[in-house]
Amino acid sequence: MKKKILATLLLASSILIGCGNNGNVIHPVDEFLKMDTEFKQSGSYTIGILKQDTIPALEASEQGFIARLNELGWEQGKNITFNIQNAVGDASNLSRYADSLISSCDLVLGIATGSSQHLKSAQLNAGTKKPILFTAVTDPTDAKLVNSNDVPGGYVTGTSDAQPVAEQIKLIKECIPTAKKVGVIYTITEQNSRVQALAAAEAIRAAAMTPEVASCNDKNDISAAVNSLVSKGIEALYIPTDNNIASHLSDASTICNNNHILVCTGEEGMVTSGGHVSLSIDYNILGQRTADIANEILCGRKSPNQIKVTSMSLSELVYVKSDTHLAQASITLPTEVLQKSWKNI
Amino acid sequence: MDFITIVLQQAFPCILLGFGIFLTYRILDFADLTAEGSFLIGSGLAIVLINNGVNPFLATLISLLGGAACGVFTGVLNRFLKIPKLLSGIITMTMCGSLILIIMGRDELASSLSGVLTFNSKIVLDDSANTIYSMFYGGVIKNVWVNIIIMFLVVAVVMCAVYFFFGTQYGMAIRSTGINEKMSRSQGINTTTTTITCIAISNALIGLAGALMAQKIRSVTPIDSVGYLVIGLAVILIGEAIFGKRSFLNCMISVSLGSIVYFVIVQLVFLIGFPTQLSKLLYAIMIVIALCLPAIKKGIARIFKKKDKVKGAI
Repeated sequence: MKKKILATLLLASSILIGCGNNGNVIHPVDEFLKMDTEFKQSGSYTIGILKQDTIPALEASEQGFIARLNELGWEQGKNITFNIQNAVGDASNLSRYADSLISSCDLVLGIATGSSQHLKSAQLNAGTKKPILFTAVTDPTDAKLVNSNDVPGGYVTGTSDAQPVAEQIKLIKECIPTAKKVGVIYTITEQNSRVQALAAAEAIRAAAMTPEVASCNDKNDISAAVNSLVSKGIEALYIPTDNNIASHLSDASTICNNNHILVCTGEEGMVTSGGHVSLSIDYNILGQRTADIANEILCGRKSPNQIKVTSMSLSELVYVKSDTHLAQASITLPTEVLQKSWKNI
Repeated sequence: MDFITIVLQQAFPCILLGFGIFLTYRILDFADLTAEGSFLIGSGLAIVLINNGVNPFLATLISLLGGAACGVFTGVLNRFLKIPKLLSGIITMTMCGSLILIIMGRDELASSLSGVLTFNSKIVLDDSANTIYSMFYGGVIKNVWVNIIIMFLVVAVVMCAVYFFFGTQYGMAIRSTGINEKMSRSQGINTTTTTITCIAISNALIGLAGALMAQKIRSVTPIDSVGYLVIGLAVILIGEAIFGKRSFLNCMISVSLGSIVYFVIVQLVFLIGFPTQLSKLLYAIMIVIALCLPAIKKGIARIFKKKDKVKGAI
C-alpha cells in the first residue's frame, strides 16, 4: 500500500515537473514499482563524478559525458549540478570521495575501474540503492562491478572500454608480416591492463606468433621490463591501456625506437605520447554513451539493473598512426596497410 | 549527518594508525618507516582470508599478528644486524610491497598464459562475503552506523589494552628505554627485547588499522597504503599541538581527537569546493598551522605578560 501511494506521488510529481527535459513519455505505474533504486524524481539533480587521476583518455570520456548530457537538455546550474572529484592517484582520497559523493549526489559516475569499485563499496557501506554508472572499465564482471554484462543485477551499470585486442594484434601482423615474437607489457597493479595483456597473449598465439609477456611494478621499472623484452628479440611491442605505462610511455618508446621495434598501443592518446600505431576506440563517444544511460535513469525510464553494459562496436574503431614516431624508429609500413583510412597524429 | 559518518569511518582506523606510529616515534624515539608496509600486510591478510571463508574476526586478528611480524622483522634488523633505524624500516616497507603479492596469491590464468609466475594485483571481496561490519548489517541500525560502532568498539578495546600494558612494569621498561637507553640498561632492562616488543605492538596496531580500512573499502591493491604514513604523522602532530602531550593518557586522547580533527578539516576542504587536485597543498598549510599553534600561544602569552609588567611599573 505504502509503495503504491509513493508510486502515485512520484507519478504525480513527474507529471507536474515534466522530465527535466524535452517532454519525455510518462511512465505507467508498473514501471515505477519495478524501479527499486532509491532514485527520486525531482526537478534538478546532482551528478557526482569520481576520477582516479588525470589521463587524456579518461578526460575525453568525462567531456563526452558532460557534453552529451547538455545536448539532451540537462544544463549545468539549471536542472543539473556536477560535483567532480579527482583523487590524484591517492587511495585514501578515493575512498573518502566515494563516501561523500554517494551521500550527496543523486547519481554517481565512476571513471575507470578503481574509482568505480570504491563507489560500489561506498554504496554497500551506506546501504543505499543510489544508481552508479561507470565508464572506461575494461572488464566490469572481472572487477566485480556487475554480475554479468547483460544482466548487471545491482544498482551499477555503465560502459566498458573493452579493447579490440584481437584486431590490434591483427594490425601488428599486417604492419610486420614477418613478425615471430611480439612483446606485451603491463603493470601488475592494474587489473584492467592485466585482462588485456592476457587477451593479447592469447591472440598472439592464435596468430601463430610467440608472445613474450613482461610486467612491471611501477613507473621505475618500465625501462627494465622493456629491455628484458628487447633482449628476447621481439619485433613488435603491444601496450594495453595501462594508466601507469601511458603516463610514462616515452620510457618504453625510446628503447623501442632505438631497436626499430613497432609499438602498438591500446588507444589513440598513447600514440600521441610516443606510440606508433593503434586501432583505437573513441573515449569521447564512450562518455556520450554513458550519458545516454544516465539520461534513461534521470528520466525514470529504466533502473540500472535493466540496462546492459554497453561497449563500442568494431565499426566505430579508428586506425591511428604517428608518422613522426614511425620515422624515429625508421619503420616503414607495407603499402597495403597504408591504404586503410588512417588518422595521422 | 553524512558529514559525521564519513569523517568517523576514516578517522577511527587512523586513530590506531596514528597511535601505532606514536608508539615508535614518540615513546621509543625510533623513526619507524615500517608503517606503510604493515598497513598493507594487515589489509591484504584481512581481505584474502575473508575471501577464503575465514571468520572475519579471526581474519582481523591474524592481520594484527601479521603487522606485529613486520615490526619484529624491523626490530631484528636494527637490533641484531645493526642496520640503522631508518634503513631497517625502509627495508621492511619495501619488502612488504612484494610480500603482499605473495599473500594475494598466484594468478593462475596469467601464469599459464605468459609462462612466467604472476601474482594477483587486486582482490575484491564478493558481494556475499561478510566483513566484520557486514555481519551485523540488516538490523535496525543503518549500515554506516554499524561500521562506526564496530570500529569504535575495536579501537576502544585495543586502546584500553595498550593503556594498561604500558602501565605495567614491562610497559614502563619500554617507556624508559625510549627516554634513556643507557640508563635503562644499567637498571637491568633488556633494551633489545623492549625495543622489539614496542615496534611489534606499534605495527600490530597499524596492521589492525589496515584490516579495518580494507574491510570498509572491500578490496586491496599493493598501492592502497600510499600516503598513510604521512596521515599518521599529521594526526599525531595536530593532536599534540591542539590537545597537548602532558602524560601518556593525554597523548592517547590527543592522537584520537587529532585523527578526528584531521579528517574534519579534510572533509571541510571537500565541502567548500576547493579544487581537489590541489588538496595536498591545503593539507600542508593545515599541518603548518597546527604545528605553529604552540608558538602562537606562547607569543600571545608574552605580549600579555609585557603589558602586565608595564602596568606594574606604573
